[in-house]
Amino acid sequence: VDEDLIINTTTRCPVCLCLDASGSMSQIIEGEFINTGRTEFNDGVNWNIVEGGISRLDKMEEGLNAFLDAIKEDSVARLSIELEIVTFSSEINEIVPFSTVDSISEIPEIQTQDATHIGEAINFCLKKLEQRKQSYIDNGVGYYQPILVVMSDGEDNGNPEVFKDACNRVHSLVNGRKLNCFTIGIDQESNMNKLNQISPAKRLNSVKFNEFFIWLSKSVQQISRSRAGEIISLTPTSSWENLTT
Amino acid sequence: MTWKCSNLSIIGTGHVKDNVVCQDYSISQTTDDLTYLIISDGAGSVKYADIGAKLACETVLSLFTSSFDDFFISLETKIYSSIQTAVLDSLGSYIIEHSLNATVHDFSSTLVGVFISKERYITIHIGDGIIGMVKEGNLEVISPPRNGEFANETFFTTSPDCFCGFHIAKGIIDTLDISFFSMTDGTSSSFYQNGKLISQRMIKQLSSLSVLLPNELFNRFLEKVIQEKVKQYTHDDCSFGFVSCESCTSFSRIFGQKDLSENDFLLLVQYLKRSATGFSKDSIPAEEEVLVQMLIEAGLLDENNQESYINVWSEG
Repeated sequence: VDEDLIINTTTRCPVCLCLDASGSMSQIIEGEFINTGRTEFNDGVNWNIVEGGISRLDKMEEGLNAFLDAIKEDSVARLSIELEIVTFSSEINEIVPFSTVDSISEIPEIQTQDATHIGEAINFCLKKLEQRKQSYIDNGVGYYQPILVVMSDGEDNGNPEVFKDACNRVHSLVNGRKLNCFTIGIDQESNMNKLNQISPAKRLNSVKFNEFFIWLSKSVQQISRSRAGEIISLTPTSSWENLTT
Repeated sequence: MTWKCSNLSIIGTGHVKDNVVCQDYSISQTTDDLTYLIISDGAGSVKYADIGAKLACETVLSLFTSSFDDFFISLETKIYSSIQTAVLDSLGSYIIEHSLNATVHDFSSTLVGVFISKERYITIHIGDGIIGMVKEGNLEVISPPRNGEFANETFFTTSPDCFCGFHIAKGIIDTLDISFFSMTDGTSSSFYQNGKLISQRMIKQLSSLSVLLPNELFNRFLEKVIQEKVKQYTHDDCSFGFVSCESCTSFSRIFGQKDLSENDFLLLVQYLKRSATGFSKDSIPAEEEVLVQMLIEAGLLDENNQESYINVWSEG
């Protein structure tokens, strides 16, 4: 029994964030750091180990917190938007199971690991979205079209067949208007060819995670307030999208 | 069998804030041949939603005025086809007549309609909104919302697949104690949740009051209910309407009167007030107590402060 669905019958907008937590997310991109002189082979690359600095992951976590803060300020969205956060590397971790934003006090620290298994992670997220939809149906709670956000550098080293299967499932759901999928390359070096196989991908400009998540919060707030038959025009992505190829 | 009808469409807070006109439209009337209540909710995102809603109501009224008898014995597919063709033709003509750079989809709306002729009824429904009835004190939904899978999906008069969201019901009216009601999704947000009607008592009270009160007073009361009880739960426009058999409430059975004047009604309320305060509750005849309780629950009498009752009719 999901007590929250009994107590809070607000129409839900399920959002599943499928986030890359492979070793490459530890790459330092800003700030001062000291090189330790050590190296480590991780996620297919030989890395210099440093102390200090701001990593891609730090930026992503900062963006996630900005997303939560923005939603919490919206009296409708905080009770409507349900967030699921899944991180993937060689393992898939459900770090936040589906919960209304109102009930999420903080986002657990994300741990990076070797490898990038995108297909496996997408399949896991689709399964979670399907299960959540069923919970809404079982409890008589209305819901909006689910949203899947995939953020990665696209350097997949999972099972190619699983990746292909995951892409096909996403295409089928998106074409059937059963799913909204946003695929985001996290920086200029992202493998956009790979990411475009999931859904038409956009690339973050200068790792603007914060700007992306603020945009996402505005978009889901619009959806959570939409009425029957309303066509939603999402706000422009110029604040975070890198339009260069 | 004589009928009383009333309808009301009130702009929602969202449209007031966005400086947009009310996109709900509703009409009701009773004549010798046909009694009707039609409500249409223009799609929020289309350019001519308000005009589309008005044209849908007027077109369907014209169709049922000429074809009720035929529709009563027709298959659902024929009625659906007639309605959609007539609405699309009407919208197309409007576009040409006003030289608009628009398509029929710019006029999309949902539709609920109740039609009564010679002890027979037909209800039609496209998209969201609700049609229900109070029959011999029992409340039932005739036609629940016809939506897509997701909360912001529904069917419109202009949807190519609107047959999926179309519902029709027909029947013989075999009792005098019957009242039909319908509402748009803005109103139903306060009366229908998780596939069930809530606030059933209020709907029953409203259906009784729709006969008990003169139309003008009932509409004022209905507006008060929507403003105070419904609008706080939705940003959308709100429409609500009733078609009631005039013999259906306890009022006519108790007092043997029908349409009261405003003055008569005030006298009645004062009488009831005196009855309620002048006698112990045990001494109030059971039938009158029901009415007193109904008026108290409806907000027309204040149980705790007998000196001031909520006189909704004098506020206007």
